[in-house]
Amino acid sequence: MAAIPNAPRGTSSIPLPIPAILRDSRVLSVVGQILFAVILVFAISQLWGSILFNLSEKNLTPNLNFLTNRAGFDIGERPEWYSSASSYGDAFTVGLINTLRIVVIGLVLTTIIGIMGGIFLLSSNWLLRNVTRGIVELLRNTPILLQLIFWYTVVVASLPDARTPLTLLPEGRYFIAIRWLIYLGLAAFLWFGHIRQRKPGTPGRLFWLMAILGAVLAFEIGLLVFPAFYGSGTLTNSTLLIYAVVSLFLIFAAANFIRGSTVMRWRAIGLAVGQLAGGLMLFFAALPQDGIPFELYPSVYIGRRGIVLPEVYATARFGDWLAFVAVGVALALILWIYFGRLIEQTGRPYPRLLYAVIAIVVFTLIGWTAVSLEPTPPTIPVTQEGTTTFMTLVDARTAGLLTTQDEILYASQPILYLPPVPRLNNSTGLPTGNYTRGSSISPEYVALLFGLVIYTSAFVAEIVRAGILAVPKGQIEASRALGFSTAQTLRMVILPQAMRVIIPPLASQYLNLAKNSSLAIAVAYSDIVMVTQTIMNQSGQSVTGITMIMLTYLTMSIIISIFTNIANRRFQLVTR
Amino acid sequence: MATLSDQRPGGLRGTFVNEVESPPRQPPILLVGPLAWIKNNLFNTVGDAVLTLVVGIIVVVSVIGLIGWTIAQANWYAVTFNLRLIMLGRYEPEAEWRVTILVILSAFVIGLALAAWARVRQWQFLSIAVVIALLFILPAVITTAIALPPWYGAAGSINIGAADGPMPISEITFLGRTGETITLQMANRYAESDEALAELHSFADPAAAAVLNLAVNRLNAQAQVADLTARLQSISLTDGQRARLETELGRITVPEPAVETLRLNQAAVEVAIINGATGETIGSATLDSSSAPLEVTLPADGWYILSKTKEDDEAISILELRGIFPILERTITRGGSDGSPAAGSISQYVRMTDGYLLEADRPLGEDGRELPFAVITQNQYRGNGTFPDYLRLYVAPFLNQINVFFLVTFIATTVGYLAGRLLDSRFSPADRPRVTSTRTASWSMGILFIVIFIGVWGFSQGGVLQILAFAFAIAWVMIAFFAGGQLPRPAGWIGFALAAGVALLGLLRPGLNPIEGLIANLVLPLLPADSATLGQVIVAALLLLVTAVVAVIGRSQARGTSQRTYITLLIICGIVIGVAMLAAQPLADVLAAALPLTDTRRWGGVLLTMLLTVVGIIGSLPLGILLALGRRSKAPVISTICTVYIEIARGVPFITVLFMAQLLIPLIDPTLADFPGPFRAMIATVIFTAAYNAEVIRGGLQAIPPGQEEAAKAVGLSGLQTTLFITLPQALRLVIPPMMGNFVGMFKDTSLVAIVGLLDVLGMAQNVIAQTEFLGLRREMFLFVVIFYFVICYIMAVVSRRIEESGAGAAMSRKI
Repeated sequence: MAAIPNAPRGTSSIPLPIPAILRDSRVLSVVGQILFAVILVFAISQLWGSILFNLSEKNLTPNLNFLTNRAGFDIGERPEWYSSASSYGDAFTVGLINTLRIVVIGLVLTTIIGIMGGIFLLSSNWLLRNVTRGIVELLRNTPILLQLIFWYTVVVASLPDARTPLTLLPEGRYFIAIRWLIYLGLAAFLWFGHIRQRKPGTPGRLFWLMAILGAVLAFEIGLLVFPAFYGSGTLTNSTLLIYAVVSLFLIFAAANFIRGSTVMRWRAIGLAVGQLAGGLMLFFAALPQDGIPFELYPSVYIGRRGIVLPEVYATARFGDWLAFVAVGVALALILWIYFGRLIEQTGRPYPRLLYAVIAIVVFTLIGWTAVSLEPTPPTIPVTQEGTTTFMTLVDARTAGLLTTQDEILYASQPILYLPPVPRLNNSTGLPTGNYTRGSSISPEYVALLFGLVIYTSAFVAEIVRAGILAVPKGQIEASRALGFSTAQTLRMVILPQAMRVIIPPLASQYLNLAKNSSLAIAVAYSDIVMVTQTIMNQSGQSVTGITMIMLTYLTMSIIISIFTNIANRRFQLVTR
Repeated sequence: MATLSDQRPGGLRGTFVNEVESPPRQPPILLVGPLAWIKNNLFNTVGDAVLTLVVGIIVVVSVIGLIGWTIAQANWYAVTFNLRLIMLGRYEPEAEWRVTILVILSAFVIGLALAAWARVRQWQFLSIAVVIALLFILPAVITTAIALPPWYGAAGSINIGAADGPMPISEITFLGRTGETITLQMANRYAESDEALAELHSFADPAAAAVLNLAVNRLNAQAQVADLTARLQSISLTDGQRARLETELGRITVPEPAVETLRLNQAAVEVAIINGATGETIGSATLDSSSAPLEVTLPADGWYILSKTKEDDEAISILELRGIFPILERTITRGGSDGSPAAGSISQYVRMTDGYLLEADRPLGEDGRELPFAVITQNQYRGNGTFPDYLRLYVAPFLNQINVFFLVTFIATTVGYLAGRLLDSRFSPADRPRVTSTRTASWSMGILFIVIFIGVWGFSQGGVLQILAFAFAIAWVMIAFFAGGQLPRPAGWIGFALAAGVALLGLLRPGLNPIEGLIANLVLPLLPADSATLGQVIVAALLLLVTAVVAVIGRSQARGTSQRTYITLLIICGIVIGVAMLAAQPLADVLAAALPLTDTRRWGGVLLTMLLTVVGIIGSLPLGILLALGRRSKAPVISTICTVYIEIARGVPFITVLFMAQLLIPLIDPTLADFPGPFRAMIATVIFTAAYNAEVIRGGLQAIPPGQEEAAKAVGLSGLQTTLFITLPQALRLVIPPMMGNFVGMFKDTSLVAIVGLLDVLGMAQNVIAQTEFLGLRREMFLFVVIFYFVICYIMAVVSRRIEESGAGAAMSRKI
């Protein structure tokens, strides 16, 4: 035990003869830091020295000269200008472009899906909320690499074969049933002419609403289940009597079943009367059965070999159209500012966003029509087997002599949209899985994008949910008390406050997405890491290669950080 | 019943009160009860109802689809067969007992932790016990109640399907055990029509499968023709579509019924079962569609030959053979992993259904060649499986493989829990009833990680011991450093500095510069071990002497608990280092004989994943603390260096750090070319995770109110003491939940080592499904891996949430 337990500290110890300068904490701190830095620099230089030495033994001193050497390998996902004759530097650039393609699109999609997920997580619908919760937990608790491999080897691999792809929109002849138009007209007529004048919850309004619903339901279900009844009814038909009796019985049964509630009773009566009316219309074929046909052709093909998208070009008339749009935008801006001032002065809630949108839409449409009205030349020069002849546009197109350039030049619309055309097998006449037009997206890209976006979205959904929950309930109640609508509450009260909580963790998820894109190698997508690995294997410049990848990702991280910091500052609480 | 009568003087007379209580009315069903819940939560508005219906339909369809696939289509034998590979990788079978003991130990510590921080209720305990019992009862019940599905083999001498289609094999070998009964008969129920044939579901050889496919193809073609004809009737087709469908329809030809073209089961077959070892015929018969089944009981374990020849050349027969199952052939190499000469390759034959393993050459046919056997790749389960088959083939073997593990874990956890409770009841003071078990659990958890790592790896000739000594030396230096400012006399200071110097010196190797010596000490197991030199003995003796001096002087001068704790720790460290240096050689011999080093290249599966996680946690936590303190340091050099490190590590993807560790370590020194891959991955994990931990801990440090630090300063604590005793403990407790989040992330990130060629769970799964016999089973495999990761991450997340909810982040409550 302690020998001198109660002795004060200073008395029993002899002060050491240390000069004052060595007992000055400032001096000690500086000396310590210098010592630390020296030791660190020494250790790193030792390590680095031995690495350099060992590399120079193998004639692989790190340098950047190899970047101009011929790469000699092909890249799966490449722009037009890259070939195996390009340099290592070009290959690196292609990898960088591919990474950026994933990251930029991925960030946008993640934000959208993540916010949707966050809203689903807060839904008042129990089923939706809990299903989303389960999916989010599953996604958050399994490794991203596993998910990527799953998307690539299981999901993308089980897409239909390239010869029988999924199509968007599904090809076929579709019909807009005439009776649906009639329903719409009827509903609009009743709504504006009759129902709207009544207060919500009054018997008449309930009755009419339910009657329309009942009539439509009775007619449609009847047509679906008993198509033979359509038009079979005459006044002498005894089924009509039975139908009437059954419907009346239903009215009273329903009214009696739900006792005590006027609302429910009126609803039941309305439903039954509507049902009777619908049944009668079915019997007497009061509504036509057929529809207005139109045809849809697919513009997107999804198969195991990737997704084929239509080509979209700005034609020669695009500039003219853009001028109209610009005028519209300018007008919209003027309206926005003008009504903004008016709102400030008078306090009246002018719908200035609506006005601005209308201005833009109107000018866009006017521009489109005006530009399209300009006539195309009656005949155009066509080069056929070396000789140039003049023929009409339609003839040239049917003869298949128009190149994409010609289409762009002679199109009457400002935007040219060319859907992919499946190439058919000459002998069998069946699709080969190749396309004459269209830009395709590789399955690797799809798998990587989906994997990254879905994984990161699960985290973003949680962040959004937490952010919205972090807004005090009193804020929402207060905004209700002030008479804000739900949309206004969301836009002006909840979101600005939630953003403050959301942005910092969201930024870190954005960074994660960018960094996780380096796992492209698992799905054989030629991103920067994969391309650089090939470069490193071929040139042996492994240290340079790794450093280049790291610097690229650091730069990307810094750029994303800068943007999110700006956003963060924008949403921060302004305090004095 | 209450009768009210106003008895006050002058009260109202004749007041009438209704004596009968009005009958209780039911509340409206739409306002309370389950209906109300359903209305409010699922069908509140019209949009809500539509949403519920849509989501409900999607969920029901996908769940039913998944369950149907699991039972009818999925082939789980890739998982049940490779369970050991997924769990342990190719870890040496001789060393497997270590893992068992470590698992028991971990379960024991988990039991202790449960006793310390949670309470297990009786019903919880009982329900887990029931589940464990079910793990034993279910497979037993399934095995006895459900017979194994038969194997269908075709007999005949024509090619099936096409000119180059498979032809039935007349002689095939199979594995049998003593007393097993083989039943052979014609499969008449599948020979009636193509519809009946298409329903065949069981093991089948390639010829029988080809027969099945003929029937299935015909039915498919029929269905396709019917479908196309129906679609052509529809009015919603564009002209192009109609033309394509017509072309397609024109190209389909519906083949003749397979039952008729092959004249299925219309001729008699001669079957015989021959003992593969002796060549004697055990039973034979001529089977036709009306004959009774032939039953043969096998006399011994080993190879048997089934011969099935056909008299009529123009017909095919399908035989139902009960008791014969597909076999997996494995070629294994014995020895050779530790440098001893390889004993050569041996073929092992494993029966798929029960894992019966035989190492014996296959019997030879009449022409002297080895006869074919029912190889698993060609004799897989065909058709849609039934639920009983699913239970018998996959569930029962799987449960049989895991039940002992769960029982042992359960018992060890229970024992640990009881031990914790016992400790508390004996030693804990009344005001802090759980303090003993809490301390025991914390300490055992800390030590457990190191024990797991060393236990799995083993001991080289002194390597681990020296690393241990090195670790203790560093610990000593740190403790001495921290204690230096606290101890009463400058003499104490000097004594500890001396001790620390001696401890470090003792570990330096002669002939190496300090940096190389440091690295040599870090990677000692790779260097040849040497016995204790005279210099080492002298240094060790000196060390023990200093320790003794410290023990005598320090303890006599120490004041207060913390000083005594310091000195105790110092003494322990000193003794460990000294003994380790003195007894390194003999101790190393004993340890290396008991627990020899395992081959790190054979680590894999869950074992590797867990080791990476464990090392990541124990390595990154202290490094993270140092980095966080460094970043908050007021010294600009240190804080800049730490900030740069943290930001770089957080700015680059983990995979690049892994690549760097993979590439740069051999470049540091050529002798490091053999530095094991798992250790490189561990280094990368620690480097990477430490930066994230540092940020979390920094957040915790920033959250400590400045008053704490000011108060510490006011009572005269030094900066170091303030950090160690005031801010850091509070900060660490505060950041437990986000730290757990980091560790969950790290656990998931360990899967990235699969990219650099290590066989962790994911790597092993990919490796398994790349083998021929498990091709096409990747969904099953990945689903299993998904479940593995999900269960563990989810448990970690739940534990973290519980810690957060229990308020452990707040300052520890203590009764005053």
